[in-house]
Amino acid sequence: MADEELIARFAEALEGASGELVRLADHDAVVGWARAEAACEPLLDGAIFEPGEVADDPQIAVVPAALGIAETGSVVLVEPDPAARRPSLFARTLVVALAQRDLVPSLDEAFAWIGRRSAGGNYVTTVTGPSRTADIERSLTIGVQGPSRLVVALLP
Amino acid sequence: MTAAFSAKVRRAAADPALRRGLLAFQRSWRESRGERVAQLETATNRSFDQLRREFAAVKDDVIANWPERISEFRKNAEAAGATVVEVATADEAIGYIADVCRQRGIDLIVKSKSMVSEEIEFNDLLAEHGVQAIETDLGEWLLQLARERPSHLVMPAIHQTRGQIAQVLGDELGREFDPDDIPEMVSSARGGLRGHYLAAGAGLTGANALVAETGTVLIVTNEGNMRMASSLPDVHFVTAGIEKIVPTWADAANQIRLLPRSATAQQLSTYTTAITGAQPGREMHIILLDNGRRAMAEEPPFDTALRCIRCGACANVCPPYAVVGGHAFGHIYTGAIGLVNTSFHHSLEDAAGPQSLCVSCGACETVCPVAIPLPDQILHVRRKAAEHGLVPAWQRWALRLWASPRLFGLAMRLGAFASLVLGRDGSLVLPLPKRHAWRKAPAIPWRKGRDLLRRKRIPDAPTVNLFAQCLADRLLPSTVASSGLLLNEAGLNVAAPAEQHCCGLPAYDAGQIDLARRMARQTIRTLERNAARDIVTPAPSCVAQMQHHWSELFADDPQWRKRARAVADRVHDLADYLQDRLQPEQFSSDIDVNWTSHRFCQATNVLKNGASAERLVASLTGSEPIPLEEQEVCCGFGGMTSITSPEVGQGILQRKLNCIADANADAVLTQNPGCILHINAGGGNAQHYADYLASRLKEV
Repeated sequence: MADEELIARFAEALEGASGELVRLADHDAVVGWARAEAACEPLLDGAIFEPGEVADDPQIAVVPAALGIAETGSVVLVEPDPAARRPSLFARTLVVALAQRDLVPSLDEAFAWIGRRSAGGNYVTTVTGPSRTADIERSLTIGVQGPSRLVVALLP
Repeated sequence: MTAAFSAKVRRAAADPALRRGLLAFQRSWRESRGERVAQLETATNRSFDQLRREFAAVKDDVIANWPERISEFRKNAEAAGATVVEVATADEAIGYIADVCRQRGIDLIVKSKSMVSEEIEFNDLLAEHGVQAIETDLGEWLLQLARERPSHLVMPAIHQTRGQIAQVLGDELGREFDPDDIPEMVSSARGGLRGHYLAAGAGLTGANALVAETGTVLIVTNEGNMRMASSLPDVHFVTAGIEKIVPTWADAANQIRLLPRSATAQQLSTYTTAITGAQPGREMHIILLDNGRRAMAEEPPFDTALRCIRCGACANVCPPYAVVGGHAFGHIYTGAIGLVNTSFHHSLEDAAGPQSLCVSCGACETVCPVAIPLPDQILHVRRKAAEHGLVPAWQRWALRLWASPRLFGLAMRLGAFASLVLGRDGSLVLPLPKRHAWRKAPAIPWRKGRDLLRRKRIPDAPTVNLFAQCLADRLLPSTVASSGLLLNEAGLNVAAPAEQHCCGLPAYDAGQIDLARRMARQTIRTLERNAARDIVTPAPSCVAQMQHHWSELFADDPQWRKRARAVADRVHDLADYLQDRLQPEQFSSDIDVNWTSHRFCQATNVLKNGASAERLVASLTGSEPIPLEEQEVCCGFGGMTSITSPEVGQGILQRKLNCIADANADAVLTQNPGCILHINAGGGNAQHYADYLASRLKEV
């Protein structure tokens, strides 16, 4: 499948899951974008995050995705170290940097990959849109305990 | 059925907010789930039925090779640093977790959603060991604050209203909430729970799947709380049933394609988390629970209930569930699956009341993503309940009477006499409470249907047997006469064997299997004696009984099974049978009657010919039916529910009557006598399509 077609499918599925897509040049651009987007600090950069660095309610965080899934608009986070999960757990806006070459067409490839990476121990999450609940009178509410905004920053 | 259970059912059925909420949920779920499943079928180029049967086969294979699969999972999870323990009972599970907590000095556990933890009554029992458990799933937390139990597998707090929630949240957090500001109430959970995650010594989660090839616990969530509960405390407990194992990641992908679509009608939930082992310095304890599961595997037909992936779809299409919710329709496990597995994980007594609410409409089986034959299994639970004296004795006496053609005839004679004397406008007011749909019962006519047959003899034409159905014969005689007339007009001679009585459905539905067999044998003998090959009936409920349940009824009796099969193969539903045998020219099409069609639930769900009656009418009269919302949803007549739990039968019926009123048609046609009797007892005006067509036959 041509790259642009795969990206289009990914974008459509992501939008269906209430996520957003931005296309940026590199990691610095992502951090810059996030900094501009956040109403205020703090910003957590998952790539250089030191556990204990910031309190437990950050505005915005940037983390890397290992994989994107076009079929479902999902990003795959590989986070074996529990402490290093804090940015993706707590940030109100989560920006996930995804390299275009890491986009796979379907859940089948993604799960095969996750299976290989899980052997011997791991913590891998397929994230599809922001956190949500419909627990109060079935009323869909975006942003519960996890991020209320999920932005995928697609890098070339 | 205990008095306490009846009271619970009456209370739930009398709660209009509950019913409104559940009905709205079922309607929107049905639509979105339909879209999601259609999208899956397109994407995979496979039917839902193929996909679910393939995955069901995987689950069956796991159960068949349980010891190997469990040890493969254990080996791989332990190699990754997890501790895996197998426990037989709820007490053992609690004991293990309490021991670990004591050794580590843990007195607070944060929990994400786990049905197994509900099954073992984790929160209450652990509290006895001095360990507090706090629910972190929003719905579960709200229930914990309100001291209630989940009423749905996936939407645990679906029975609560925003007003009730504003109240409990306000009490917990010491501030006031506007019930209409749902986003504010939701976001209060963020602050209200955050401190607990950081203070807890352990987190507990469930598992949606255990992937054997890597020892992975796979968990599907939407809120993000599960990731916190499994990441922030140093100790992670997983409680899971041993049936949750899938062999490979390819199997896991198939489960994940089916699960969120069937649960919340999402393509994928927000988080699908694969946890394999514990990081150094951390602990992961995976508690694999039996608690009746092995017993289930050894007692067919219940073994296939172990395929269940806890999506809750069976509740989302269930008519009685929509009336009373999961606190009555189920025990700790709710919905159709709860009516089955409660008898293994808890007790037959706990299952006895809820199972009586099932109307046997068959809707649950059509949406189950692992193709569990739930209606049959519920009837098996009912059978066990009957054997253990857990159903009212009067049912057996009434059915004994029904089983005897002579006594049944006599009772109907008495009823007809009473109707003559006391009947008013075609109905007979019975001394029943107002809540009973059958209070205004149909009057019993003096002459039965077969006595009204006017047949012209057609030389050299084949003869068909008309199986009138016991109910229609006595209570809707015109339908029997109309059926005979239409067959005659189709160029057939009509025979109506005098000894015919009942296919045994009422006794089968009531779990009285010996009586059901007796009635089936009587019918088989009668229909065997008659030379005409084809047997035609205006009652598709009898067709379903003969073709789908007789063989199971005689499972241990090869000779009778063979005879039953031979007769059942000759049986046809009248609408199917007439399809190509009548011509539009025989019917007047001048009057523009607006008609609509209620489809008998089992015709849609079991016989798969739900549309054939309206197709017949449309093709013969040259007119299309007015759309009827929820036309394939049960009217509430099925099973014994309308008699044993009248509020539930009434609630289901009211939903049907509302849809009928909205359709605003001149005529409401349907194909099953039971539906007609029930709808009309509730004040509706349904008629059999055979009567409708007979009234439009041109005079020759």
